[in-house]
Amino acid sequence: MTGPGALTALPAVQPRRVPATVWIGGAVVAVIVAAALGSFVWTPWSPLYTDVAHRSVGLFTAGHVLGTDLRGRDVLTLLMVGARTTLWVGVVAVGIAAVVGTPLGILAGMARRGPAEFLMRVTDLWLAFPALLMALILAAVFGGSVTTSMVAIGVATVPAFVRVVRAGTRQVMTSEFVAAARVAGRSGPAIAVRHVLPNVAPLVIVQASVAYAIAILAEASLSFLGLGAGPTTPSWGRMLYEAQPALSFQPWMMLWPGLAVLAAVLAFNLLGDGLRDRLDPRLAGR
Amino acid sequence: MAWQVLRRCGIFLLSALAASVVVFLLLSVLGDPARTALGTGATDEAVAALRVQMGLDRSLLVQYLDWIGGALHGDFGTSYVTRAPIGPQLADRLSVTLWLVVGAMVLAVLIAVPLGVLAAVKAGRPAGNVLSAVSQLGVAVPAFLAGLLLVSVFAVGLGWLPANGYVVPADDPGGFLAHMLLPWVSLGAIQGAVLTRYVRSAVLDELGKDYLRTVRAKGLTRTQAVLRHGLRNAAVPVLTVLGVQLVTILIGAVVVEWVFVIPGVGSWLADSVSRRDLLAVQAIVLTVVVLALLVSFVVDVLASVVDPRLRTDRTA
Amino acid sequence: MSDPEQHPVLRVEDLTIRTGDRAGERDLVRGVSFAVGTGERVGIIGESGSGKTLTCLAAAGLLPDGLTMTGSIAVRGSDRDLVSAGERELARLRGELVGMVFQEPMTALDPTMRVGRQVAEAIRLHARRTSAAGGTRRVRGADPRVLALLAETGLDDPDRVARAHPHQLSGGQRQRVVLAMALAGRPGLLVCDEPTTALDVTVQARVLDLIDRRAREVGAAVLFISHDLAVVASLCDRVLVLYRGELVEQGPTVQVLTDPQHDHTRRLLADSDLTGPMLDGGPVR
Repeated sequence: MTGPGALTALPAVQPRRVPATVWIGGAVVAVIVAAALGSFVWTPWSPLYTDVAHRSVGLFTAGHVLGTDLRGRDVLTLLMVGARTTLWVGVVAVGIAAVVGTPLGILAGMARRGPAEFLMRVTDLWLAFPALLMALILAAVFGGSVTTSMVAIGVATVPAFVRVVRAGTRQVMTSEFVAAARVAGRSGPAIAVRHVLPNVAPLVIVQASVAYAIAILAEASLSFLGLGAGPTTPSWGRMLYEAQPALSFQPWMMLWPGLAVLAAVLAFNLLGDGLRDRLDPRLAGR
Repeated sequence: MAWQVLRRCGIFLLSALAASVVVFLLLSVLGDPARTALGTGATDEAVAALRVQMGLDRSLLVQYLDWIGGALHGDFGTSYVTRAPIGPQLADRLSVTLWLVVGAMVLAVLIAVPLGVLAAVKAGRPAGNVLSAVSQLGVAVPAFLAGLLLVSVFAVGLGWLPANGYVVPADDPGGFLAHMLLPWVSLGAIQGAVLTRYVRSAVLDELGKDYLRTVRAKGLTRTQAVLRHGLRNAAVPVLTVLGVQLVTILIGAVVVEWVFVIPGVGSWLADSVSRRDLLAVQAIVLTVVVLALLVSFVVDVLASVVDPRLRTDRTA
Repeated sequence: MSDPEQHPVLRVEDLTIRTGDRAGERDLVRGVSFAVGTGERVGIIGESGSGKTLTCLAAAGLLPDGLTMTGSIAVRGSDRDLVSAGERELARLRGELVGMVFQEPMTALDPTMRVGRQVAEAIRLHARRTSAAGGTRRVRGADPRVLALLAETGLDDPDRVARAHPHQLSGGQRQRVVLAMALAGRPGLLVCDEPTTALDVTVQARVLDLIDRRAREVGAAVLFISHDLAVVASLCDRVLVLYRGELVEQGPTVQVLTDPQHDHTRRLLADSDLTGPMLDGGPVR
């Protein structure tokens, strides 16, 4: 190649360093995890205690750093305990999606054309049931709860993993080391475990981070509709649900749980973006 | 081309059929409509009696055919919770939701196309970086949070716009717009931010392509080349994203209708779920899913109209 | 053949093209001067990165982003110096005064537009300038001028080609379409950047013949980049040799290829396989 193409395509020499987005996202996630774990040991107040004398008070009032909600519960305490719910829902939902989606994706990537095509059609259909819709369906059938939310969000996130893993698998399958393994007589399952899985693992990690953000959003939405976490389970979405009647006279009640949801979703998105840049430069900028 | 459209049409119909089976299995088989309708306190005899009355004692196939046959005629049966027929209400509420969704989508496109093209043409400069940071933030804001924020600022704080409610456009166009503005912004601005990133990346991809140089060699300026040739080429990946977003907005409408107390399909779905009205939920979910499938069918067809390379048989 | 110095179609003087990146500025083309006379065929040879493509892009008013140039480039028919002209002025003389054929025909055409419309666009841009009546705005594939232009470039079934989308055509067919568009405005200069490198060997010769014939019919001079000395020998009257951004040697084709003065030219000759008949016969005209 001569001329300008070669010049403009000249890659800027980039040291393989961890992008800033990973640090920022990771730091916020670390704070949330610390708050959730810390809440098992210590919280400013009891999550169930209602300070009847100081209902819906503001910052630094009567020992409530972030104030209290309409019933007089300590907002900071609720945020810390709510972080547990948020993280737990994410872990279970993403866990379900990754554990079911990854093998299906590898299967779709390695299978012969007919079965692969069928699997992808099923995936397309599956995609027509996004997390929130699936959660609403299961909430209608089994009643709304954190468990229902987690399972529904997890099931609805499976096809995203199938697609990503399948694309990665197809790429790995064209590589020389897979060809060599085939010539050496390795079986399909052996190739899947030894060669494909390690190579698609980075994709799964990136997808997990993005899916985590979606799971947090879905759980918050569901609890906000009053169809997720019950009245005794502190959750950021539930806090927003309980603050909604006060919207016209105390709109700032929405502030802290709203910010918490926003920060968590943003953090996992940044983490996913950064990891994608770090782990797979080919996908960067997408 | 005609054959391709026909083929895609067939895929759409098959998917819709499969989706209806899934919806039926999830709600009528996994769930127990009779017991759910009567509540946990009901006696087994009462439940059994209602099962017979609802036709749940028949074979699954008969039940499914009965339901889907009615659904094709707009008859989704009568709710055992509200005692109201579901079909007519679905039609009314669907028109409200479509106003919300289409308005939000139009807003998103109006935001994203100019900004995305601008960000691509000015890539690498501060303006481009600011845009990409803003759209990153936009991805993270849930629609309902945006809605709550907008209500507290523009309705509660400033009192410029109504906080909630809905007005039929034919009755009072001005009132309709006033009531829809905040919901449209909550759904559309965020999706617009998301879409901006895709438009930018699609246009950036095209800017480096050889054909733009050929077109300029013919005598077009850089701007003319991008407008007359680049945008059309960039439209293909953007269309696919648009389809996904339309579905996202459709689902997001559930929460936004709830926030703004809009009598659409979404708030009805939330209500029906909390009332455990399985028959209504089944009808609404089927409608939403079929709409989602319809969107991706239309997007597929549009994409092949724009890009002739997609008209030849595309195999995975 | 006219003396290039007296009636040049293209005159490049002291052209320097540089890139500015973080590592500092770097000259990609340095102090290059040459002229191309009416109807003359000039070849530019040199290894990859010698600056030959950049020089030609600059002459066609298509310098890539991020590069700056100094010196002067004059094209007959315009009193503007291309080095200082803005994009609008450059666009006006592209296609009109200078046509260009690129290396990679597979990606050179807009994949979403029918070939006929793309050719019609070139015709329309030209017609708009020469006469107020530019013809119909939306020209379908059946436009007789498009069909005539496609037929002149040796496409067997112009009607079918006009209605086709680029991906339905072969590389050779696409390159003919690009050539048709490049000559639609009857420019005085046709710049060809390795136009046959990406084509099958069997197609190469026919496309070369076509460029030769069509340029003569239109009366265009040709500036022809190639790393294939045999091709240059068969087509060009004169040869310029670029080496690391500098013009190290120029002269009549036969002279340069049989009696090279510069080391680099000798190396190029040694590396290439110039078999007898091409060189003995001189430029095939």
